[in-house]
Amino acid sequence: MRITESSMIDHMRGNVQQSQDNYNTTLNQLSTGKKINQVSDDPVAASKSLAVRSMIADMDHYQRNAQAGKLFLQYSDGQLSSVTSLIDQARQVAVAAANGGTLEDSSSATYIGQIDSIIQQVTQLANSDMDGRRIFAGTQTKTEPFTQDDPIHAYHGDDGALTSTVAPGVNIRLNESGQTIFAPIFSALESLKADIRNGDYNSISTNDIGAVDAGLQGVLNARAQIGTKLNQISDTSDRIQSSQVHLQDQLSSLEDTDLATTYTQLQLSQNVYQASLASTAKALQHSLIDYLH
Amino acid sequence: MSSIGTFTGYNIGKSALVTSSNAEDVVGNNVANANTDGYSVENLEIGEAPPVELNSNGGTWGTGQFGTGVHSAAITRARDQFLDGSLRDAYSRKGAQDAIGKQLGTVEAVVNEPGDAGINNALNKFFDAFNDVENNPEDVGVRTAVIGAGQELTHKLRVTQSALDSSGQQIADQVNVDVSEVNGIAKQIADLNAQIRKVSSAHQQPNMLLDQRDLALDKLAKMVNIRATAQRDGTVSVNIGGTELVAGDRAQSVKLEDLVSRGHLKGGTLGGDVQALASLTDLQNRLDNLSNTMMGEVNAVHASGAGLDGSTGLPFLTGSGARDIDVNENIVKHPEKLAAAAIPETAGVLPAPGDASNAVRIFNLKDKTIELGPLTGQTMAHFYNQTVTDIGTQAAGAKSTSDLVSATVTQLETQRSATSSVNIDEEATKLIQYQRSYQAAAKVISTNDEMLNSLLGMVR
Repeated sequence: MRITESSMIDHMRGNVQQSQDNYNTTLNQLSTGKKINQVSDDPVAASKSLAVRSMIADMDHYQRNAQAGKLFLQYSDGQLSSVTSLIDQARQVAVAAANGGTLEDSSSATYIGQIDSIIQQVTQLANSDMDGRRIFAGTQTKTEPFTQDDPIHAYHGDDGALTSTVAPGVNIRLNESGQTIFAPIFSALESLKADIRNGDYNSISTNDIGAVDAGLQGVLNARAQIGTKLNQISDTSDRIQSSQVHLQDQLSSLEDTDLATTYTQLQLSQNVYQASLASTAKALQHSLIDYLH
Repeated sequence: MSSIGTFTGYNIGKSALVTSSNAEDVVGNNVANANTDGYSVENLEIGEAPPVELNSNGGTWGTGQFGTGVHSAAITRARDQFLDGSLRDAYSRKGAQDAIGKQLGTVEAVVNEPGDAGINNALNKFFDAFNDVENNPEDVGVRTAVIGAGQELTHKLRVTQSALDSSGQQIADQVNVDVSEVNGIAKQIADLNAQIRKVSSAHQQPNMLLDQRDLALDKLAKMVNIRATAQRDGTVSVNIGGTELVAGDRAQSVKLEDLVSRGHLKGGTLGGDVQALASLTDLQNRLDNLSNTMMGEVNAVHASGAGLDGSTGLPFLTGSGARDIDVNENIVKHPEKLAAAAIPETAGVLPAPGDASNAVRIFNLKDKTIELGPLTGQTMAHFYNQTVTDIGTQAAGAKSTSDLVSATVTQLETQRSATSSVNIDEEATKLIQYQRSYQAAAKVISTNDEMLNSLLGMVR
């Protein structure tokens, strides 16, 4: 084939550009650490990476929700645990009062004082708030569900649910109804107090101790439910955590530069680039003209 | 005896001198134009001068024709018209793909995916923010965060759309410039046609004009798909996919709308730019569709809930598309109006501050398969990802096709160069060859002169 200077020069220019381009591409991949910097670098991988990124964001978000839900449940459980020990104290008072037979006025006044103090503390616990949210008032989170010194202990909350979305489509109710837990306790304590005041020891042992126990059972039931939910959240969040790791791996394999391979490619493309520069510099140094005299 | 004349030897020598000298001039011109764009190497066709008839009556030399020297027959250029046609097709294809790749590359830079700064991420964060309300619906800070996420998303949509607007404007401007340049080149080709026809009719080779016209056709082919047909009178007629551009010495001024509406525009940078513009418009329409669907879906749910202050029926997003989508100003000023709660069943009662059920309903729109309009059958995020992937796929396709066509172009250019370009070594060889011929011709004349001298010496 007849080769001409201009086609040689065109070729060399094209080849130098090509090897420079290759060199630049690998250098870019190494310096950014990404093999996909634009969708067109690899549309299939980029499309997957967009989806995986969404999923990772979702998972992070569900983890945050799970964390918040866990805190709420743990706090509720802590408050209810205090309620449990208060009810235990009330039961001891009831048993002591029932066994006391004819009570001195002074000791009956002591018992009443103890029960009043327990009622006050239980009311405080029922009004517990977490970052300004009443946890036993349903969705009326800005309202104290029970008022101190209210002899009928009217419930001011509602039965609305405070929820947390801990996984796609998994919406867990966090709050226990203040009405269900506390109304029986208050009524048992009030009746105990009235029976002590009236000296009705029979009613204390036949009715009040049983009612206090029922109130305790209600709290224990609620705590059991909280425990179940905590387990549920933990399981879900463990599962999400492992899929997070998996998704991060997937994203990394889609987007991130494989350093070993790319570094080798960089060496190679650098060599090719240097060789093409060297050969271009050497080319066309001579023609027949040099030998004509 | 009929013999050739006494001085014929001088004339033969002279014709050889002149022809060799002409040939050296052609070589000189080739060397001078070795780097001229579009120059085709020229060659002096050398012909024998007409012979004279010799009579045989008593002549010692017998019967025959006697050569009388040499003459320059024509100067031709080395050119392969078939290669030109193939190469121009390849130029058109490469021009189109390069233009698409370049323009969509700009679009991709605007879209900026995959990455944390893109719309994909903002869309996620927007819906997730509604779910964060669930963790603390009483808190104004959480509401402000939702509004912030909404503002970030709508800002990104607006900025992207307006950046695409200006990209589109740039392409449209480029297209207009290209169309007038196509018409300019067409005019130039028509003028060259006229000159070539005039020279050809005088039986001359208009080499320079032909080179110029070929160069103009190459340039035109890079801009638009053309078919050039050589006519018997030396002119070429040119059409773009069937729309006549040049016929003889007339150039037809073409309009872009006509080319597009007839479906004749298929290649070249002009064709590529027009195609890229269509892709860009499609992308913008899809961003509008996404924005409008988002407004429809989010607003419908938002309006059916209630804010902390009991306000209801408010849209969360306002606007008429991706260009002006924004978070409702009223809600930005009064975050308590964010309708996180359901409307209370009892009229006139404020919603429970811990009720986040409506915010969760808005959050659930994230994974909702849309049932109406252009997004039917897809979630909003899928639709967006699909849109972005489509642009990327087109850009990647253009790049790989361009690489492929580039190889063809290089191959054909090498072939054309093999036929038409100047090779310095070859010219140097010719230089010696014609120099030797010239020297020999001079020697013929001086020998002739010596012979004549001897003859004249005899009679002295």
